[in-house]
Amino acid sequence: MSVMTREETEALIEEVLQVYPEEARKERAKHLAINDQSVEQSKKCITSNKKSLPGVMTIRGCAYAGSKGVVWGPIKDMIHISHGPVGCGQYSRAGRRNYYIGTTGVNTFVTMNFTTDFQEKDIVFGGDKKLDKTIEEINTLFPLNKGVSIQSECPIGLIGDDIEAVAKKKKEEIGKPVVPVRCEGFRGVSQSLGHHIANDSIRDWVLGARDGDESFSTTPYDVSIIGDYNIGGDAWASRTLLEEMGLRVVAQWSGDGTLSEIELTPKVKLNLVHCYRSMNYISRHMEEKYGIPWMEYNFFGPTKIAESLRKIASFFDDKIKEGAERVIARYQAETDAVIAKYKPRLQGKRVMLFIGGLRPRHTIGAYEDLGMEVVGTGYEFGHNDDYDRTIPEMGNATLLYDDVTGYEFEEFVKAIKPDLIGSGIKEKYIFQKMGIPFRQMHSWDYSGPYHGYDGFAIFARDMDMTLNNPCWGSITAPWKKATAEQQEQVVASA
Amino acid sequence: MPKVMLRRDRDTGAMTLYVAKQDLEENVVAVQHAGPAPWGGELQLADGSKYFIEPMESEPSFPITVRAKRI
Ligand code: SF4
Repeated sequence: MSVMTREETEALIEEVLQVYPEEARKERAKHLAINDQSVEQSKKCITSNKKSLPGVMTIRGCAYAGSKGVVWGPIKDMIHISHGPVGCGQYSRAGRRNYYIGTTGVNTFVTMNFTTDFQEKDIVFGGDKKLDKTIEEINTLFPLNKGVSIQSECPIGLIGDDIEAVAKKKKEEIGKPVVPVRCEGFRGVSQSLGHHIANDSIRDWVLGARDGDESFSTTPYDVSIIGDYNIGGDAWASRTLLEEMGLRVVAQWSGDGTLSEIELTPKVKLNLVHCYRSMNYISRHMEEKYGIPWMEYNFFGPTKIAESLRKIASFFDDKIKEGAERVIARYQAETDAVIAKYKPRLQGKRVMLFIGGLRPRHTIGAYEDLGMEVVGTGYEFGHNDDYDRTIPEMGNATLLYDDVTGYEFEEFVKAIKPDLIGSGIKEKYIFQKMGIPFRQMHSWDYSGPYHGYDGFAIFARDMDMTLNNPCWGSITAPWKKATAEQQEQVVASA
Repeated sequence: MPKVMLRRDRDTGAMTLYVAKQDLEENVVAVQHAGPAPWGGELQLADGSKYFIEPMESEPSFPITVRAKRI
């Protein structure tokens, strides 16, 4: 299908909204929009970060997922207790593919699940004692842990446990940081508030730990990577580029990160923010308290990488600026070869995305480098400031959908007929069964890294592998194909 | 009285007002007392809304978090 005009897109939204009852229709209409680059403020055309409607199928997570799963979870040398019933932690265990180096169960703990395993009696009588005992046990069994965080699940807030008091007491007893996080799942409308709560708890309980301690020797080229969760090794692929241009990466937040890296971050010269949504809060705080500037960058696809490297270098002296040019030049031939190989196979293909924090806008450049076009995008839990940043990236008259419902997404796909969809595991099998190539863009579909130049090569290969897979030609069963052909013949002969 | 953060954008030099709770990130186009002393008062934003912050003795260093009233 050719590119849709503004009117066609409008009609499509109108049509999809028809099934809802009046009130729901009004509400959902605000979340669906047609991109218009002339709009300066997203709030004029799209509403976001609002409660999902009861009864629709939403793809969002909860605040606990935002804190434990996203921000705190990847800090590898701390133990994160899923405080409450066992399910929240167990069903999400190790699903995010934050890679890390270390010996799991000895000095790193990311893929393990620690929980206080609430039972009925803990709900009735309170779970503070159990939490106390759990921390005690953890510290005995895993003495090399550097600290503990308490990630509250829903019941903790409901029964009113005082986890702060337990945390303070245990901190004294075990002599390590114990951080209570009030990220009960019911807070906020999505995982986004969990990110914010987690940021605030890092600010209040961890970040100031080394204030006034000058024993860490700094260099003028210290930076930190903020909001890179090392999915499939992303942060490593980014880090090598920064190091190659002459910078020193002091901390990774939080993929493959450690507690001491977090504590040292206030000593850096510049914070590099990849996922703005989940970690802008702490970056803003560090700018105010420690005077550390921050900037957003994008390491998807050579065009955006080169742009970002130059922008990063502009904060430093000529040595780093030359370094950036050197890095760009060094990878030029390699990326040219990748593009030469895959662009002819992917040229003109149309993509629809529906992802989380930064990818709905950040990956657009990488697709464009391969000659593909993103015709629809949306955020699970984005805010206005995310859409502000998205509108200039998207073509006019393309579709924007916020917190899209299962039904809407399917209908949009049926009408727009994209060549590829990028979203999460919950959408994957529906669309594959509809015969549309699909990539999981949260976990990189068990592949990755996609960041950096090395990541781009993998990204291109994966997109080609998915799109041009011969299986898409075999979606219709042979006997059904035969009847379809016969019918056509009948029609033709009649 | 929401807490707002005022910061200067490095690229454009423009002052922005940020309210985390409302996802508001907007350029400040006019300040009633533009300094050097006093600094503050009514802030006019690019989207037309106005905020009031207690005038400060002199222009503070940015970014800074202050309490502001929407007017
Ligand atoms: S909403 Fe509550 S119960 Fe559900 S996963 Fe989140 S914390 Fe657990």
